[in-house]
Amino acid sequence: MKLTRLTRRHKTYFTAALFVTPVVLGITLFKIVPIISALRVSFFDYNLLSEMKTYLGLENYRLAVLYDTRFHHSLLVTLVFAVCKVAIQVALGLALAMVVRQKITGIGAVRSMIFVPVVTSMVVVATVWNLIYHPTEGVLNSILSLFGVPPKGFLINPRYALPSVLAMTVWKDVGFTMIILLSGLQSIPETYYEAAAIDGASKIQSFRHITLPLLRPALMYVIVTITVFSFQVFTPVYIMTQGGPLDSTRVVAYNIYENAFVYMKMGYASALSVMLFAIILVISLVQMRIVRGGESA
Amino acid sequence: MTRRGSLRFLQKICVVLGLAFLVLPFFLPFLWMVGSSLRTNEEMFKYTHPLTIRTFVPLRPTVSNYVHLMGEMRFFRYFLNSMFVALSVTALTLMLSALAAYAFSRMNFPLRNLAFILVLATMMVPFESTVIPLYLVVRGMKMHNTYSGLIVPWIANPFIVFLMRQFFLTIPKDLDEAAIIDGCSHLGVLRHVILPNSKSILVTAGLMSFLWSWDAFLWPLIIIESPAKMVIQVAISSLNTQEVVYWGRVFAACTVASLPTVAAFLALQRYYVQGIAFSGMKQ
Repeated sequence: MKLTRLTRRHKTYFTAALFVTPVVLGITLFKIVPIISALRVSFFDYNLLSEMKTYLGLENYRLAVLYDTRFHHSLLVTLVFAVCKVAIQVALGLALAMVVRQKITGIGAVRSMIFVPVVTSMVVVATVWNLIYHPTEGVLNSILSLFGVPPKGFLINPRYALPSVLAMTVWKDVGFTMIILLSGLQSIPETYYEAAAIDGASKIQSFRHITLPLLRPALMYVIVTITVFSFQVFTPVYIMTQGGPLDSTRVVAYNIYENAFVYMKMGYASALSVMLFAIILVISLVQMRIVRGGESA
Repeated sequence: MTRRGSLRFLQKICVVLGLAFLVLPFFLPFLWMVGSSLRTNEEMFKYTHPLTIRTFVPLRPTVSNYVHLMGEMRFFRYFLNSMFVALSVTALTLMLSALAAYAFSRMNFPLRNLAFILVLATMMVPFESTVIPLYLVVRGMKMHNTYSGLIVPWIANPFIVFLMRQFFLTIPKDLDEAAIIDGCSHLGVLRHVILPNSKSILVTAGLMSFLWSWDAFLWPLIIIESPAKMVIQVAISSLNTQEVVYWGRVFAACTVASLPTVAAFLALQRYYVQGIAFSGMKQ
C-alpha cells in the first residue's frame, strides 16, 4: 500500500519532469547561457572574423563609459525616443479607448482598423512609411500641401528624422495600447459613474477621480511594456534611416548591431549589450516599484 | 417631432464623419500600399501630387508587379520559408508551453518554484542585448544558416508559458480532479479538460508566436546566409536597398507579407482581443 503510493508520487514527478524539461532546457540554452556568455565575452577583445580573443578585463566598459561619444549620444537618442513614445502613445491610446468604448454602430470596424497596423510586420510598415515620408514622391507632403505646409524632408533632415520614426512607431503600436486600456475601462463598474453623476460630479471630475485611479494597473502595465520595447527599438531605424542623418536616430540597439556585425567587434558590442540590459532592468524595476507603492498607498 | 428627428439624423452623420476621420490615418497607408502595388512603373508616383483619389487608386491596375515578384524574384520561395518557420514555431511553442504551463499550474514536484522563477526571470531579457551570444551559441550548435536555427531558439517562450499558466489557474480544479478519479492521466486531463476550456488563450498565444516569428527581422538577417533560406522580411528589406528600386514590386512584396497576419487577425480577433485583455489584467 505504502509502496504503491510512493511509486505513484514518483510517477507524477516523472510526468512533471517530462512536461517541464523542454521549456526549461530551451530557456537555459537560448536565454540564460547567452546572458552569461554576453557577460563573459564583454571582458574580451573578440573579433568574429579572426577568432582572436584577448582578455581585457573591464577595458571595454571603461572605453564605452568614458570615451565613446557615439554610445553616449545613442543613449540620449534612445531616452528621448522612449520618453516621447510612452507619453504620446499612452495619451493617444487612452483617447482612442475612450472613443471606441462608445456603443455606436460600426465601432467594431473602427477598433479593428486601428489594430491592423499592430499585426502588420515592422519591416512592411517601415518600408511603406519610408515612401510616405519621401521628400518629393511621398504622399504626406502632398497631404500637408493641402494645408499650405511647404514640403519637408522628414527622414533626411536631422531635426525631423527622430520625430518621424517615432510617429510611425506610435501609429503602428497605439492599437495595442488602446485594447489594453479599453479592457481596463470596461472593467470599471458603470454604477460608479452613475453615483458620481448623482452627486453632481462633472465629466472631467469623474475622469480624474474614478477613471484614472481605477485604470492605474492597466496604465502601468502599458507604460512598463512600452518603455522596455522602446529601449530595444531597432528595425524601423535599420530600415528607414540607418541611424542617420548625422546620427540623429542612432539608437542603442542600432549602435550595438553596427559594432557587432559591421565592425565585428563582438566583445565591445557585448559590453554595450550588458549595459543596455542593466539599464532596462533598473528602469523596469523602478517602474514596478512605483506601481506597487501606488497600490499600497 | 420631425425637427427633432432631423436633428438626430444630423448628429448621427457627424458621428459617422468623426469616426471616418479617426480611421483615415490608419486606413490610408494600407490603401496606398495596395493601390501602388497595382501600378505600372510609369504611373508609380505620377499622381502623388496634387492629392486626388488617383493618388490612392491606380488608373490602370496591373498585376505585373506580383507576377515579376513571384516569378523571377523567387518571392514565393521566401514566403513559403517564412510560413514554414512561423507555423513550426507556433505549433512547437503551443505544445511545449501547454505542457509546462500545465505542470506549473496543476502538479506538485520538487524544484517547481525554482524552475518557474527561471522562466519568469528571463521574460524581461531584451533580445537585442543577447543577440550576439545567442548567435555564438547557435553557431556552436552548427545551426546557423539552417531552418532549425530560425525555429529552435524561439520555441521555449517564457511569456507564453506565463500567460498560459495564469489562464490555466482560472480553470476550476474540481474539473480535472474528477477526471483523474475517473482514471484519466495528466496528459488526458490536459487534452480533454484544460485545452478545450482555453480557446481564447490558445488563439492569442498562437497568434502572438506566429506574429513574432513572421515579423522577426534581425535574427534571420544575422543567421541566414544562403538566399534559398531567406525569409520574407529580409527579402523585402533587400529589395529596398538595391541600386534601382522597383517600387511597385516593393509595394507588392509588402502587401503579400501583410496578408497572412492581417487575415489571421481579422478571422480570430474576437478571441485575440479577449486574450490580450487577459494578459493586460494579469500582470
